[in-house]
Amino acid sequence: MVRAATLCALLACAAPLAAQHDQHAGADGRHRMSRDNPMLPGMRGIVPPVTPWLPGAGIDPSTLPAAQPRQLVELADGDTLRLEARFVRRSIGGRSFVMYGFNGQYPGPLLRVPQAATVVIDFHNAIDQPSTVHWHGVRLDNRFDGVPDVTQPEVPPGQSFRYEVHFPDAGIYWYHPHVREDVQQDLGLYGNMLVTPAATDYYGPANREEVIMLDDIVIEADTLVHYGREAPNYALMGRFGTTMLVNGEPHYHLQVARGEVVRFYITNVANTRIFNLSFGGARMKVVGSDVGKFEREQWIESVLISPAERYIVDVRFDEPGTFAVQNRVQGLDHFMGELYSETWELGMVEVSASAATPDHRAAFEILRENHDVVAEIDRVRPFFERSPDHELRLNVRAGNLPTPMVAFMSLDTAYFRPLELNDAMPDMNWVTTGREITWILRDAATGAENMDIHWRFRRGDVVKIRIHNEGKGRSFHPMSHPIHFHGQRLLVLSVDGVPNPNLVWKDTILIPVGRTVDLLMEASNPGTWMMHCHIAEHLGAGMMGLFTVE
Amino acid sequence: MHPVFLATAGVLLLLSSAPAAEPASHAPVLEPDTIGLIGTARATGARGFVRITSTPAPFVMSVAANGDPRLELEFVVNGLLDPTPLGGDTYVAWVASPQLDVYERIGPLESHARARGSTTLPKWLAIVTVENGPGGEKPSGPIVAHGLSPSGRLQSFQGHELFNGPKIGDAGQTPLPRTIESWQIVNDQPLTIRYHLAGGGTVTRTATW
Repeated sequence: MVRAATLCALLACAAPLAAQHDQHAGADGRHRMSRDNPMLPGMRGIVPPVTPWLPGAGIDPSTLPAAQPRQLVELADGDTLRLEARFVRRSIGGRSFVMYGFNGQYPGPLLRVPQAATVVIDFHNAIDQPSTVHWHGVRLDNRFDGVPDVTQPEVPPGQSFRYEVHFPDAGIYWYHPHVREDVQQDLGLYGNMLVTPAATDYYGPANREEVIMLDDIVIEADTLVHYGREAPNYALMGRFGTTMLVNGEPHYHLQVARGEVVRFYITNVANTRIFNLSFGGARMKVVGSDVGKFEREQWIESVLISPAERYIVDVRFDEPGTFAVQNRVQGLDHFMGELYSETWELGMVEVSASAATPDHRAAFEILRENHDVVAEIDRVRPFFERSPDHELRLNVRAGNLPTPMVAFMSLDTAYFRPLELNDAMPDMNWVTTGREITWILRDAATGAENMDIHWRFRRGDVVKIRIHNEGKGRSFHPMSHPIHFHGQRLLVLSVDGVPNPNLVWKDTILIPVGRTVDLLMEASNPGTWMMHCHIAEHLGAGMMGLFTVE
Repeated sequence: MHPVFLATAGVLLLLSSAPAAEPASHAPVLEPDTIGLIGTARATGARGFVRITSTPAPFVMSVAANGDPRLELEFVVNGLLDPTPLGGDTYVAWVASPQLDVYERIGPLESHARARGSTTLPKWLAIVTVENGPGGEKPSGPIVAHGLSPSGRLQSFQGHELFNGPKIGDAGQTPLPRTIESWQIVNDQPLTIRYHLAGGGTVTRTATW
């Protein structure tokens, strides 16, 4: 229980905004999230203190072309592709919405390119706000990283920008805007790049490859819930969607033959949701992640994947029948103080009785040791035990929040779970914006925060970075954060001092609440780059910094 | 089931974890999830802790397909004497669900001091009992030390004033969420809020927390 003096200080701080909230009451109150959780007393009528905003709100959807499912685009070294961000008409669950799409598709075109290729992407911005394209995870030329005011100016509506994208690493990558991701990405501007390895035996054999993008979107009363024009709403926990999407569809469906080995390339493009994906008990093994393969394949029950991460898994469907594709997580009910099992049905895989040919069962049963990966990591293994070169602390600063919310959050501090897997307080989350919430990267050595952090390295440096996500007693509202480093690749060395026994190169690392994660970054790619939380609303609330590789 | 166990376990539900004893150096942990173990009346000198880490996995955290976390537990207990006078020859570590309907045996304490195991229970009680041998499916002997998982500290706000709102006439507690149109703070100390009801009228309430 908080002390009265502390609480009153908080209340006094919060009072001015309460009035401000009341002035907005009713502006878009019907879009309030309403679930089973009871609303806090005093929260009724409180809305985010930003202008409600739905891009394309004045457009008649029937005047727009219907978005088409993603198409595969094969690109060879030197090829050029025109990529246009534009308004589209999307149908989700039988309801039509004005959304965005790259080349009129959902997700954007799947680009398949050979490793070591360089392609030209002529980006044209035909949406109603400035944009860019970031080539997530690709160690490309800094000029083409797509970060406004760092590597390029924003591309205004109606303007274009030419990207040259070089793909040094095999694996699965994705592209998305780096301007108001909470809006542009959420409304459909994302797509994958599948980089095929130079070596033909890079992966084990599979009968087919499936590239899937996991997403969610907030739909209430047949409408999309407004964004904030001046700053993101849902700034506290990020925008947890109410409708799950796989490749832009609410019901994923795949038909395979009995015994098929399917290689799934999985990307989480949700604003904030962490998925725990499984395939109805079908056996699966994890093969790779963000920037290549694991040192060794490993049997898994499910794939825990946070925003912007990728995983490559091989799944074998042994028996005919239907396998549910599910997201199963441990939900938290703040009101009752209970943890509960939450299951989202994402789709299904139908397995026919006819046998797959060829039969890859024997190869599937073998967990491959990837000696090429081990040898590559051996080069940096001598750096594993060194002291950290830099240490980041993750925290949050909140001010001017509605009084009931401050009171509740000040009381609800006995336990913070390591991963935020559901939105346990949607009403409170919704009203918070980047104006009241500042999510913080803090340099432990200098005290510098967010964009005041600017680390400098030399090309070839191997840098140890410790990230501590400050938890109970140290943060007003701790939350897990997927931290993305642009332009480089990293290894997760340990979590809370426990060494990671199976390494893989990453670009996005989930940092659970209260945990300390040691990373090793290979500063291989020159330029000034961003590091930031990939929860879109946290990025919009300041959680980003810079580093330069000279 | 041993009546002492049942009675003690019931009491455990009401207990918060004690401050943890200082764990052995495990740098670079800054905020380890470590819970305290407290000796019962049968072993008043017993003190210890359970260190909790995520089971190593290809992901930063390890979770089961159903979403429950996979945790590695290390029980460390000091001050346990010869268990023979307590009716057994072995100290055994367990975790149990708060409803006491699920038990998982962690294992015997080596040298009466240390045991390792794992669990996927979302909330759990940590207990050490005296058993004959390594223990069966459920504990049978007396409890000598206990603790509560960090998630066990989750609070219920169901009965909290924040959610029960003002009293209206003699109707008792009327839930606020559906009745409040707006509100204003009329006093900071003690906190006093005037609620404007959706159907008209106001109610003033002073919080006591």
